[in-house]
Amino acid sequence: MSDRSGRPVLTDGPLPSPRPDGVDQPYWAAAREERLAVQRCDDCGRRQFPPESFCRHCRSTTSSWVDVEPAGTLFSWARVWHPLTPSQAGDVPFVICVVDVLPGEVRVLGNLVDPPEGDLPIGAPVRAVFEHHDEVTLVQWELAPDGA
Amino acid sequence: MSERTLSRHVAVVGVGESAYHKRGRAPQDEQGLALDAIHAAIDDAGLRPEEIDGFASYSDDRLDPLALAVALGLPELRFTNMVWGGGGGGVCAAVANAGAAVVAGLADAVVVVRSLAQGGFRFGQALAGLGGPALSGSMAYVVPHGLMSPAQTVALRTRRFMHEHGVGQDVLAAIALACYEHAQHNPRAVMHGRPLTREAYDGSRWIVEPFHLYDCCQENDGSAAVIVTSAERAADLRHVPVLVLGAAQGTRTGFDLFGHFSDPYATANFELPARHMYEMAGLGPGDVDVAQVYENFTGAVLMSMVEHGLVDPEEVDDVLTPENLLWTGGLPLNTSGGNLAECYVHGLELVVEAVRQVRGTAVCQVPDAEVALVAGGPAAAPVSSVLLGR
Repeated sequence: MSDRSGRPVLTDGPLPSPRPDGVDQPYWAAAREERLAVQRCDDCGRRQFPPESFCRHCRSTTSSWVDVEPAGTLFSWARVWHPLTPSQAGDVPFVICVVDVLPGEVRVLGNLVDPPEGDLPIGAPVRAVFEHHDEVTLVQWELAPDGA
Repeated sequence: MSERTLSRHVAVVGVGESAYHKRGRAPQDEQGLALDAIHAAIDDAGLRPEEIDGFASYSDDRLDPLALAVALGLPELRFTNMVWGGGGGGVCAAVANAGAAVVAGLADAVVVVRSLAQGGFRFGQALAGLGGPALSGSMAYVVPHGLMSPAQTVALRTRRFMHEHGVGQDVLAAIALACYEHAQHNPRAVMHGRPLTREAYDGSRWIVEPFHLYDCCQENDGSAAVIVTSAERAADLRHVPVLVLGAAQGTRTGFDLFGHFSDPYATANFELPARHMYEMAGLGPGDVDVAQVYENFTGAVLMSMVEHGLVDPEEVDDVLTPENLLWTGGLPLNTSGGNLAECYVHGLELVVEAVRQVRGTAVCQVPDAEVALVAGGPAAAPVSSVLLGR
């Protein structure tokens, strides 16, 4: 995941940008400051990701942004060997991981940085690594040290 | 209104296919391939072209129904229909929609057709570059991490399923081996004459773990067509009518197609349509004699079979073995070779094979097959399934 050009290295395509309605702008702003922020519904209290203009649980249209602990457990993973873009060719294999941050409420997806070889331990604790690029900060993940 | 159902009111009366080719090798365009398949299906049914009055398709098929009608010499075109959603998720829904049009009196004989010539268009390629100048919605949270292909998406769901149910790599290999073995008996199959061994499977490169090369469908040029008409009309035609016993399409509304953020997660998304299909048919998984289950990737076949009740999730390792999945085994799967080894026609070739099994005319014929299941386009939304039988 080295940052050679100021762009995330795994895509040659468009970069994330806040939706026209601005609903997800606080997420990207928080990542820039190395925080993991999610929406919390003002009515039912559930937290959700990705951001949306309504609560997926109760359909309320009012929510607030809250920080959550940038840590979780490894929910699933896939090690990519076949590069899909020219920019990926130098970085395979790389690992895509799904992380349970708040089980039942917040699950996120990123890359597992410095993964060990072989099968990866689903259920193991992971913590966030904030990867800064010129235009965007990506929330990545690493296996937590034993006892973390 | 009396009971609202398709069950046993419509039948598949004709099936046909073009020659099947490796990707980019067809000497014809998609319309030329489709006309070959449709003419073959009309001949197979014993119909005259002018009796066709509708077309149904799926996956944003690029065919033009008016152009097809002109090329076939149809006097009237009364029904055209396209199922939303990419991939093969709509294949059985297209059959059902054709049947619904017949039952509702909107048309008398509807051709379901899908045609792919991938020299000019590639299906299932990386999503990078699509979506305009910026990413938003779920795509914004996956594409920058290199997640751009259906293989990767299904790999993540499959890995979670394997973890939850203690499933090993042997099951994925078994599905690939069965499909390839069936293709060795099928002269139409692109992989005819290209047998697969377990050693070759294990030695093939990873695309994305847990999928080797042979866990992934081919890309091909080809077309298939089936003709749906009323059960009454079917009784007068050439073959024993293959009735639509049950059909359903749909998706759980919580299913997150491009993202990975919601539950249910480790799923091919068939829970809802499988239940509705069996209810319409008045049948259950134990009635299925042969299964044609869309393989985009073997892991999706595994989850699809579980969600159609063909195997208990805790018994997968014992039941999904290479021997058991052959046409001579207890749970025959993809008996013409399917998307993996016959031809990737977005699953419509699986409907063709299901019809031949019920007629008793398949190359790898399951003895006394009366009920055939087709499950289309797993891990898409919507997905669809159909039960065909006598």
